[in-house]
Amino acid sequence: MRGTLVERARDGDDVAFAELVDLEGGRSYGIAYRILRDAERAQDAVQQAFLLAWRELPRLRDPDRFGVWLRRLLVNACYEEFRRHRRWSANVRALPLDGPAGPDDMVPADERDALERGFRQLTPEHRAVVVLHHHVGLSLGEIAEVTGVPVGTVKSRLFYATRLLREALSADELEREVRPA
Amino acid sequence: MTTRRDLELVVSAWLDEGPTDLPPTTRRAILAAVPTIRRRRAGVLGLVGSGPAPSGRGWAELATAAVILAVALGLMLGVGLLGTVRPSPSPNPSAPPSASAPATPLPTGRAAGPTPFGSATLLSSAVNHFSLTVPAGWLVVPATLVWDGAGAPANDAPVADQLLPPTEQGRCQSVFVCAPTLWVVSAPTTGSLSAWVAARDAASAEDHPCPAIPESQRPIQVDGTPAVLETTHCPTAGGPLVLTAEVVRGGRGYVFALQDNAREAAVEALDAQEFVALLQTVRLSP
Repeated sequence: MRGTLVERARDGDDVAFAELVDLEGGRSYGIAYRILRDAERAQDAVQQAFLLAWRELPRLRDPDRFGVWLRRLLVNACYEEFRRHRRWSANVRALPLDGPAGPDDMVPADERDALERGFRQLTPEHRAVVVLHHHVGLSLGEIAEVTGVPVGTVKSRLFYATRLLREALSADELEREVRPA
Repeated sequence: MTTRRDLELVVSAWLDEGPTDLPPTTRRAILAAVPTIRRRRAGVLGLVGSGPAPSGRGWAELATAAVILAVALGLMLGVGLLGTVRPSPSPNPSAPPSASAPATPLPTGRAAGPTPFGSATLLSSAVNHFSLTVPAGWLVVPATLVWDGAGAPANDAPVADQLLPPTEQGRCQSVFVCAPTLWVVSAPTTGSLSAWVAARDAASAEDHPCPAIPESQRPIQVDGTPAVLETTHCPTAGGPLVLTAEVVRGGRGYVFALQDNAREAAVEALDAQEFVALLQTVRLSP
């Protein structure tokens, strides 16, 4: 089904491409939002990724690799979006602590804030690895394919990011322990 | 203390809290832009996202591509086009300037068919009153609003005509792919070139983390008009490269800008070369 859509879109069928946007758009936006922690920038990254996909699709030889290929475009668009807004923007927008969230009771507010703080300290490359591993559920090898770096680099990024997030949570636990009731 | 397993569960649960649907506005924006994107020709190599190295048929394609490339380069050298790509005949040449219609879609000279090797299109901005040759494969995000001359609009401001080269693998050492971003803004002015440049430098220092005095400044020409080329990093220590060319003609001040986050000397040298080459194709129409 998706392979056929990819082939049709590759041949210039924009209706098929629209169906691909519907199939992959939500997941792509979810990934971009979680990497960038900003709805507007995530929308820009997704838009950029899909437009690049449309432009480059005629050169995609294997339709079965569309998913990996699109994610690679998306992750690169997130990197670019992250840096684009760090370049000239003096008025850095505050990252939302409470974007469109799910059930409030899944993660306690304290922990959520601590994770948000820790995550913000990560580079987009580290964020991407965390999101692709813990949210999308990709293996380290698959992440290496998507991000275009060796598996060892993925491991190292995940290790560093995990350590930082653990430290953020530990600091939060410590603060709660010493905080007067 | 948070155990490894706990941490993974907490991080996964935290990441699960978030949107899962593409906003309809984004979907509409993508689908509206699709017809305006000139697509890549199906590559002779067709290697995009293909993973394994070419084998058998792939090597034959590689050889074919090499021959085509050699012939194309030979032709370009023969007619003196290498380094300065010239526009292909535009099916939709410059529209007359329309200061009162900032949101008018801009003619970008897009051809309906595939992009011929080495071809380029002409961006003629009805908002910013200039045209230039857009190298093949670049994306153009046209300005939709008229700038009033205040502040220092960044690349993604709606008053800027934005030019996005394709990201290039191997251009940078530090990231997998990279590319600079270029943009153009213009506004009416009654002042001289030096006054225009001073105002732009002050605005950049105020609106962005740029130094008040650029690292270097030298005279150049844009479309036969005296201009100033400035180089700086914003901020000075470790900031991205920002190149600007400022020019005033016919009561209109222009800013042509490039920014690159690579922070690599070799890439910045390449940026400067490409920026100057692009400026040579600019035609001002104030």
